[in-house]
Amino acid sequence: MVQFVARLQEKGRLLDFIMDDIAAYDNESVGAAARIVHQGCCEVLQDSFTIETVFPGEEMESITLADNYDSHSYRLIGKVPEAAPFVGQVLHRGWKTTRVNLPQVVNTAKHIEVARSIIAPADVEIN
Amino acid sequence: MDTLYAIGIDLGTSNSALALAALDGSTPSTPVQIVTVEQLTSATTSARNTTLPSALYLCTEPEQRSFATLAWQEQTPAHVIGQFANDHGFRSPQRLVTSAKSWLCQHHHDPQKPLLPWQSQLDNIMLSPFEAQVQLLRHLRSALLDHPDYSLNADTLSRCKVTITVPASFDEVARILTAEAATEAGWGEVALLEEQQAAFYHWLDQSGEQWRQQISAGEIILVCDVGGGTADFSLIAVSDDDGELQLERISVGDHILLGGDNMDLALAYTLKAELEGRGTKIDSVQFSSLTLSCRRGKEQLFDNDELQSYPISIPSRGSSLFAKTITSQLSREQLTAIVLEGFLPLLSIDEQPTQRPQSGLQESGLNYATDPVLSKHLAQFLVRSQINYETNAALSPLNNSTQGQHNGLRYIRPSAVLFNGGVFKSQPIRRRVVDILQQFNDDVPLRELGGANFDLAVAKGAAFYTASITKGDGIRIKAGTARSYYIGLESSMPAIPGLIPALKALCVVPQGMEEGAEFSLTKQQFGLMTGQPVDFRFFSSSVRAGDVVGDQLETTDELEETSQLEITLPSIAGQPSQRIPVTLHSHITDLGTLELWMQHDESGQRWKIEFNVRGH
Repeated sequence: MVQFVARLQEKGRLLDFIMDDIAAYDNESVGAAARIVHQGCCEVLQDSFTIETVFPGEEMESITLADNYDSHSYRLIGKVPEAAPFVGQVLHRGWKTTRVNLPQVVNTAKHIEVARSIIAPADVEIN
Repeated sequence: MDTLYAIGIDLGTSNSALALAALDGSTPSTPVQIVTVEQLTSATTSARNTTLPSALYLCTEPEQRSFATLAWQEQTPAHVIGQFANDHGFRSPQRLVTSAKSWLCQHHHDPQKPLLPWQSQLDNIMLSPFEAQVQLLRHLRSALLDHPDYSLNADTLSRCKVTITVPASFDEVARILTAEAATEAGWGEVALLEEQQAAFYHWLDQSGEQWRQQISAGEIILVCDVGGGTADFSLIAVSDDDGELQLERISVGDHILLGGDNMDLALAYTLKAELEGRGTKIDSVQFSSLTLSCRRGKEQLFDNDELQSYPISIPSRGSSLFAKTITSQLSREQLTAIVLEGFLPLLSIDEQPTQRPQSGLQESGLNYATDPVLSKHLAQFLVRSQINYETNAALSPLNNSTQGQHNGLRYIRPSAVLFNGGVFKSQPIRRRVVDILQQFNDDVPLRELGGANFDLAVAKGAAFYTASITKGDGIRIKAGTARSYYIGLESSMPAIPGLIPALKALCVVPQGMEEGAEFSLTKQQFGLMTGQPVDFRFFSSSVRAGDVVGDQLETTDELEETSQLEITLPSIAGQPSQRIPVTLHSHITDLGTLELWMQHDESGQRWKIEFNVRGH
């Protein structure tokens, strides 16, 4: 887990983005920084997962779910009746991954300890 | 029973890949799969990815103690290979070895000397380009042996059939070095296959039996392969032999060090100049980040017609992202002007690459292309292919429609093109190359062969080829040696003070010599010194298809010097060094490497001539 955050920081500067005081900057500065986070984190997510929407259609389309619908894939909200058919509109299409390829921590005691604490090393430049 | 495999290795300049197909004999063809390659992704983690960046990072001693080891490594090796090498090494370029492959065919340097990282000051830990290739190949082998999906061990692997791909433009020295690197890395004896042919085999595999409907006799197909840092072209002719379609690779281009990375760099330099114009300076690490963003911008803008510009943010080096992010943007106009009009303008066939006048002193690094215009290199290739074709009547006969003429300049007009290389993922770049070729073809339409896999086609095609030759089924592209080879001969003439005798060239290997073929030059004998090493100069040409073994050229001016050859014959016992009469024999092994032998006919003894690749 720490190592996944480490990838998001390495490629997408996620921690730099979150840990800084966002209130002190205007939207333009935040927007510029957001592009770095978006581009880098997107790359990390695409390396590790194949992300698709749960509902293949468009949002606001209507949908009818039978009694045996997959309750992990679809969350019913609002005025939900006791029994099927469940007729409603898709508010959010949901996300799922069809592939998981997370970086594995190399299995030695020393590395596991480091991997559980260091998210990004301090950079020291030598000229 | 153990499962054996046909294995294809794409040992690329920027990225390498591994593919295989099971050889179980029963099914006619098992699908080719990509083998994921385990590699470090950070100092503590590893992952299995479809490609292995061809990058080696030379660790410092503390790093060696602290970096993680992969499953097959007992201790951290002196170098990290793959993704982490790239990610970590770009901050310390002095320790990063990339593009080692391109050094194998440089004639000014010995690829077995520790040259890399180029211009690094780390004298005692530097690697030779050859050693870097060995390390990459060793990593690929270990990753395959360790892979849970294939229960291979050293013994079963040694019984698998392995093919490594090399650029069609590689000369014999670079080919032999690649095969030797594979043997040293533990792959045993490997066969060699041209990358551009491998891409074509992948297309054949993808098309299945349908390929015969997609191309027809009389056609010429251009394989246009532009990778990160190199461009390579080949032509494949389709002919009809008693109702069966035959394929023949009739021409290969030169090794051009020009590719997609040059486009990204050109974009990045343009934006860097804009930033500097506004008083913003960026350092070399930020420039790398800008270059990467330019690549993304290029891909996004080419993928999406509606996008007019791609905003770019360059992160600060410190942790403050909000305060110090530098912004810029890549506009569609810049992209079109630089990538399409700069690298791929629509030109007439007679515009050939300009050679910059040579300055007296030159930095002796890689021999990068001096003209960045790919269209001109393509034009030059099609003209040179025609010259090569005209020298040899034995090549597949060509239709008139596949030969063009412009102001007296004759050239080949391909009827279809197969793209390979990451640059061509962008449809507008493919479209532009088709437009360029159509303009050369006097607007006669030209087809793009579909079904390409721009990153993995070469590895997959090599595995498919290996499986089909092992089983003895499937079509083969007739190819043979892409070049003809010559030995330099000193003319026997009376010594004249101040005049160096002219060097003649004797053809010892003709173009198109196929695997297993042998030639002997028995009519001519040469005097060879015994008891001391003797050097020969060795030349090649890709445009003299008509030369046959024994042909003599009066000068070596039109040839390229490839390497030196060396041979030491022991003195005959009890006798001083003397000249003995020998004859020359050439042989292409079944694996596709060239061997030259000298034979003393009287005693029947033969000696192999070694390729001596030291720089000269």
